[in-house]
Amino acid sequence: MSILDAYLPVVLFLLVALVVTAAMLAAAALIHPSRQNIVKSQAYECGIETTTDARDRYSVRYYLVAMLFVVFDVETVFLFPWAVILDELLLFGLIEMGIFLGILVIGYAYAWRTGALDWA
Amino acid sequence: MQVVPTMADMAWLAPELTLTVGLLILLIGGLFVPRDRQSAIVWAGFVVLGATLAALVPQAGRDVTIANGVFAVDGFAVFIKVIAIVAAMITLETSRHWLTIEGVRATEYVVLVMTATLGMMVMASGVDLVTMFIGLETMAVSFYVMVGYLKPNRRSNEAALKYFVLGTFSTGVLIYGMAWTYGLAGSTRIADIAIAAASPEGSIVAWRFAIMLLVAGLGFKIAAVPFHMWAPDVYEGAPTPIASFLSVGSKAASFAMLIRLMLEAFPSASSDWRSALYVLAALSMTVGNIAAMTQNNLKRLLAYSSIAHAGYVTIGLVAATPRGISASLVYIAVYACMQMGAFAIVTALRQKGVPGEELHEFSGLAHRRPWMAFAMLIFMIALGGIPPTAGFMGKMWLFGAAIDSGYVWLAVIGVANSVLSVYYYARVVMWMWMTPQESEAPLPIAPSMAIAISLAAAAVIIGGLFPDQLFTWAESSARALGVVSVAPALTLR
Repeated sequence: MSILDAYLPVVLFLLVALVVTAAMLAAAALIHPSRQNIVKSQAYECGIETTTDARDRYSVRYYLVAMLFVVFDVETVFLFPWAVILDELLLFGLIEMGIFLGILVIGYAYAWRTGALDWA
Repeated sequence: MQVVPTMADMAWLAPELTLTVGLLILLIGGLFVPRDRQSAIVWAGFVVLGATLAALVPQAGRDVTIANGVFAVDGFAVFIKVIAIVAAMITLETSRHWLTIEGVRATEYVVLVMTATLGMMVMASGVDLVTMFIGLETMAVSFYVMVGYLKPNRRSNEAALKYFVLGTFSTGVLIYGMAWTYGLAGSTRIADIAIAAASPEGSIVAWRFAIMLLVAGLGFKIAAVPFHMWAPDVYEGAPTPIASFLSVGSKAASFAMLIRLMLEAFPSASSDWRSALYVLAALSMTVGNIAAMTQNNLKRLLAYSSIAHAGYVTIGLVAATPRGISASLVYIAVYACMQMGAFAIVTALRQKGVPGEELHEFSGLAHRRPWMAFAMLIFMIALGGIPPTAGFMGKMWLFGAAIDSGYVWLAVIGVANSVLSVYYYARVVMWMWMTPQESEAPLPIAPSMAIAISLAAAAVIIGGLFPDQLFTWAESSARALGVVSVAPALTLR
């Protein structure tokens, strides 16, 4: 048996998901009543009144800070599985994570020193 | 499975570790260097690269695979690493004066050149799809930033965006090919893939599809036709020393990856990838040379010529004999010298308020700066493949290897293209000698630049007169590859 055959259930699952989604959308389109009003068409997610258009220009600094955030977010993603098997990795795991975090800290220090964190 | 690397593993990684630690120190240290002392950072980068080169010396002639079989330290890797590191050193030396003219910060520039070099080194040593991919991305991301290093320059921005968008797309194609390969072979290690490909289970079409995706993804990185469209625009907009590094270092490392993948992972499918690469080589040589004829911008001209040269190098891989592979390696090394030399001259012409990229700006260079024009003459005849330069010897070996393996027509296409290419290289020479001087402005040359140009020119001439040493080295490097010969064309069955 080829290794790709093992993925057959995944393909089947994908097909089922597609069919069910399409069926539900089609059913809704066919039978839903259409009574629009202003309240219905307003934003609901955070409960806050819409003030401006969402497609606005942001300060370029936003992207810089967002990037830094993502970097440290991903770092946490690495930390969790590492913490789970730390009792097997022992000292080696500790040193390796130390090197990884050390390199990140150097990047952080660089960003700080070059003023990437100043919002002005 | 053993996960903890031994101290012996770390010792084999000495060059990579030297470079990594060096560039991290430089990144932080560079922040405390005052703006008028930027030259010190370039020196520091140069010294770290020199130390990396020195750390490579004990690895010469060794052949081991470390870190659970994902990283090879063999002659082939060392050969490519030497080219990458020397290219990076030349890039730094030719950038020194240019950095002050452009008035840009040196720290990030130097560090990015070093991270790109680190990526190339990992690509050269990787014998595992994931390791190779990480090396490739380290290199590519560094180049995306370096190409756009001139922030106020619109052309530099345009080049960076084009390279980034097309580069990530090609990376997507490559990683898709890797995913298929993994799905079919059940391993990312090249040795395991070779075993699985020798007696393929499942669909042969799927295997061929995977190989074609890998060739297409890497074809972009080596700028082979039809994956070359980005190269002229990117080289033209990128800072000149970076265009030079991109056309040499990036190409050498990507060729290393392509050669290793094809020869070590898919020797059992050699007739499949050889026919694909045959077409790529023939198209690259022809399209590159014909398009170069109409260029009036030196950087675009060199970009098209580099596309053509990717085609020449591919000939050796199509031949796929030890002789063919060593001819490819020799030609990569020779190409590095002549291409970086030619780009260095273009960089040297860049002065305050003078772009120095257009062909007419070379007018009368033979009277303004005779030795510079002479060096350019050497690089041009070497690129055109005229004796007594290394360019001639390299091409002779490549075409000889093709004929040995029975690819006579590919050799004929190559020779015809060499003749074609002489036209546009001679055009540059004509502008330097046979047109009246256009500018009376002084043309100051930094000593480091003069040394770099002289060394490259000397290497091209010495390589042409005494090629034995280089050929011997390349032959032993090619032999380091696990597969000695796949000369009988094999098809997946």
